[in-house]
Amino acid sequence: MKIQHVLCATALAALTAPAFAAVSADEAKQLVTTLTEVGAIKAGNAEGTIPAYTGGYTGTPAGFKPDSGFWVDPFKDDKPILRIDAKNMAQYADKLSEGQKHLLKTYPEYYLDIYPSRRSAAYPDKLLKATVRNATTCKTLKGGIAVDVACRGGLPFPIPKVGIEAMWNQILHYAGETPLTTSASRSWVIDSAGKPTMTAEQRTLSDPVWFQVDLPDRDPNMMWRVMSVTKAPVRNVGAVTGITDFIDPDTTPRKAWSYTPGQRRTRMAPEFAYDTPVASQGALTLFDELFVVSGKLDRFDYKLAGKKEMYIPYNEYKGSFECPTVEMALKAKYANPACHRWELHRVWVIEATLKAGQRHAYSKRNYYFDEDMSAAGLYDAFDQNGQLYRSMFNGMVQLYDKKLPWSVRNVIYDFNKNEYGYFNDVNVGGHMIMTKALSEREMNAEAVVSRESVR
Amino acid sequence: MSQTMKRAPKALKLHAIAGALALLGGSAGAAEIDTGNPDLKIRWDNTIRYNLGARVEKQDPRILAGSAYDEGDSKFGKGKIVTNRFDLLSEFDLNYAGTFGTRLTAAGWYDDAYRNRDVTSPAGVATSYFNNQYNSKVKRYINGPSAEFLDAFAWANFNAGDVPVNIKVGRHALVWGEGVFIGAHAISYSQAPTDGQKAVSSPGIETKEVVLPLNQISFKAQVTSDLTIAGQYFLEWKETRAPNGGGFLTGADTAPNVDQLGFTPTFAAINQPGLKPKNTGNWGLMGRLNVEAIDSTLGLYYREFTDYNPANGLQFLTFAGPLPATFRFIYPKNTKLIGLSLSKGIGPFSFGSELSYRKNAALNSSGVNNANDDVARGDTLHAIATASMLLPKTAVWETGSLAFEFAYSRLQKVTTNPQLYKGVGYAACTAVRTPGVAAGTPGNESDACSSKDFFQVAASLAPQWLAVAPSWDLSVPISINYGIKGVAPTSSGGFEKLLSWSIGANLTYQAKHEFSLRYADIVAPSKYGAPNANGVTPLIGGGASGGSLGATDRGWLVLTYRTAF
Repeated sequence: MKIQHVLCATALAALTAPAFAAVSADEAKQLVTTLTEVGAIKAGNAEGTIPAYTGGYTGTPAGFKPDSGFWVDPFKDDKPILRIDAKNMAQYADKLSEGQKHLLKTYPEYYLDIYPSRRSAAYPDKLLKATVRNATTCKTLKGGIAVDVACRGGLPFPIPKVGIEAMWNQILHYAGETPLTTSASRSWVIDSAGKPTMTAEQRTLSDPVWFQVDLPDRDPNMMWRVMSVTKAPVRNVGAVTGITDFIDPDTTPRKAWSYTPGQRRTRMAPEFAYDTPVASQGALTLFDELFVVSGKLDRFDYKLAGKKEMYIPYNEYKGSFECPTVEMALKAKYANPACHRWELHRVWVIEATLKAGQRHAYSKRNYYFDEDMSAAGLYDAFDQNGQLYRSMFNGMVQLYDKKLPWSVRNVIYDFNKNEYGYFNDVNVGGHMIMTKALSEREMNAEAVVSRESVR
Repeated sequence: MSQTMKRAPKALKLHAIAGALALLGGSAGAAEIDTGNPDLKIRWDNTIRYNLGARVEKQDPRILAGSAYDEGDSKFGKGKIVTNRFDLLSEFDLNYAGTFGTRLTAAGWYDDAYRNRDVTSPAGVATSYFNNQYNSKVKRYINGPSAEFLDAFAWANFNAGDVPVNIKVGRHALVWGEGVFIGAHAISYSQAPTDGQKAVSSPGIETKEVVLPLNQISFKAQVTSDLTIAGQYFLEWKETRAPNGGGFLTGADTAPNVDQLGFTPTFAAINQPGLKPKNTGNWGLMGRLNVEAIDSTLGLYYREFTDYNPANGLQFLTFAGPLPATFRFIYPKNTKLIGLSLSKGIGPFSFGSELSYRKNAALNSSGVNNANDDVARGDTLHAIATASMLLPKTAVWETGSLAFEFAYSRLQKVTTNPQLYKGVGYAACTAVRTPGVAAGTPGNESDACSSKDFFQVAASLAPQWLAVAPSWDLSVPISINYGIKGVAPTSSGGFEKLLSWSIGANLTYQAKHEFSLRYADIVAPSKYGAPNANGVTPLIGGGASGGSLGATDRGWLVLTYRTAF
């Protein structure tokens, strides 16, 4: 009995105590000296191919119209400094993900145009202050699957010590303080014969609750929520769905609701989790791959494998706002390389391995997140035999008038089905950022439906 | 379908269809009309549906010999086309800045299978229709071509202080509660009339076409961030459109739209206009509350209504000797319903439950009391538990959905016309007169008499495979609905051993063009009389309503094409 008590107590302690040692005050001082407030290395690299960080891009390019939904490319005069294709890829292999290498090897016409690296991510002071505060105080809970509510308002782990803290940095990347909306966000599935299908067109609203520390009516345990109203295909017009995630998914799992046209009532949606494929995205994405990382982090072990220099999609103004789908953006087997802008950046490398006894379609996944802006980067996933299954490229743009680095369109390749998906396509309508958040009353599912759909 | 299509290699055949479709649907873009004003959004969408169905099961001679069931059964024999139907649903929505707008929808249809409007009665009694031809009302809905407006309402959103309020005025329909499959025991029972005719004859139909809109005023207010209040007050009452007698998909020949009820080859009672209420009087109020502590949403509902569904007992008004000369259907008035619901996520399931109590509910009745123009009434209790989940990826399927629902119903007490209540142990419950059974023998559930408790289950499994061929997705929907035990106390509320099931295959091309093939059939516990002159024992009744008993031999296969633009 006594031994059982001790084992029990130890197990409990492991669950509730912070899993890892906090960052010391001295280490935290680096956030004003050698590191930026979000934990990126301030200095450039030795080769000069990565510049020093000087606060990001906060200017206003000519021709920019605020609140038009679109951002003019501040670097439009840049020219590629290098083109990587099948012929020279071996030279750059150490800076490429498995997905990029696979595409280069398989398709001789595929290439990566490498542009000068511009560390454009810029944040508001309020966010930076909260992040520096988090360096010494923020911790994960319950063995890493939950994060402390005291960390609200900032990026949680500017100096991550372990893989799971770096994963939280991606999940809690800065998303502004007011909702960001799209009027026509589209999802495309390009089949193995190269034919594109628009599987959905939606109006969306994402509410970054984690950063809304000044709103008294917010539930502090809420992380973020997103709502979408379907505009196409026609049979789903007027369907509304809402997803809310919480900082402790153990106590409060993801909540999802949906409203189906014709019945005029909202119902709780079943759990969208783990490796259930997202049917509306042609089953090209698993639910825990939405936004690259999604849902409870309990099935995998995460190892922080330091930092690496890699070519990631960055400053993709042209690709997101000036590259019309379908004509220009989509080729038969891959997203048009001419609409991609790749830059060399330092990324955090996180290696995830499926825990023993857990079930999942993947055995291993590698994540590569930009040091300046944690939502941008690359992702490779491997099946139970270690074969490359899916890869993702997630680009960013700096919304310079709002001091908001934003993750834009997402391309995912399914090497099993030989198809690819092109999601968060906003070249119609762009993004709008609301000046004021909606009240909790207005965010209730029933109220949302009343406003958005009469079908 | 042509034989050559069956033999072509699958991929090639699909490719050919894909080529043809490219000419048809145009781009997948939505039908949003550019008004030039970013605040004014106008949409006009059209959905077309084509159904081609054939009877697969051969006619059961015992049903053809049953005078109450033979007209529908004799309409189309085995192998004949039972539906060759084209439906169009047109939807027009106007939205000004999310502040106000209108919605107008219209449906049109034509079913060539009913071009011939003859009705015959192999059992030898007079048919349900004058001159043995569908009357104009039945012709309109079963054959067409015809059309009608459905939704026609205006709406507005405004704030009353901090409270967002939405109001709708005009013809629309609302469905409350958590139940999905088993409407007879749901909080939403008789919350709107249904188009039963279209529901059975047009597979692939959207719920929004089956629930008929009525003129009403409704509102919804977000009182607090957790509490929603809603209500509706009807300005119009119209009956449910029951499937028409003499059509392939109705088991019973006698339905509200018939001209008459045949008793002998030459004599029939004439159908009078139904007893219907005045236009106002149906209304409801509900509240939904998110309760964080139990991670659930609770609902409270109160409704008062005159049933849109007719009572299952006919009212015989006048007699010619021993036989009725005139009859009519009645619509039971003044039922009050109070309900409670709870919904929450449980593991991978979305779970919903309901509990409702009806006062003065219409019960399973053997007829109508001419003294009070009413059937048996009573207080009944109803419960529903429903759950749905997404299928995880397995070796067999990629994803898909699974949903199931249980319903329970119980009679608390009979309050009016107990002499008409067709319940086990009550006077009106007599056994169906199979050979050897004397008149007046007490009956039981196998005679469609209600028991105190009733249990029913409905389930739907639809595994899905995406990209079985480039841009083609496949799903295989399988559905069943089964009365587990007992006969429900409420009128046509469900019967034990009654099973309806269907299995289909749906292929969707580019998320836009849907092709489905579906087989559906029912099984009902039936009873047969003494052999007739041809040695056939006719169907005379059994443990379900006439509509089901007469339709057990109608197994049919239907091909549907649906698209929208």
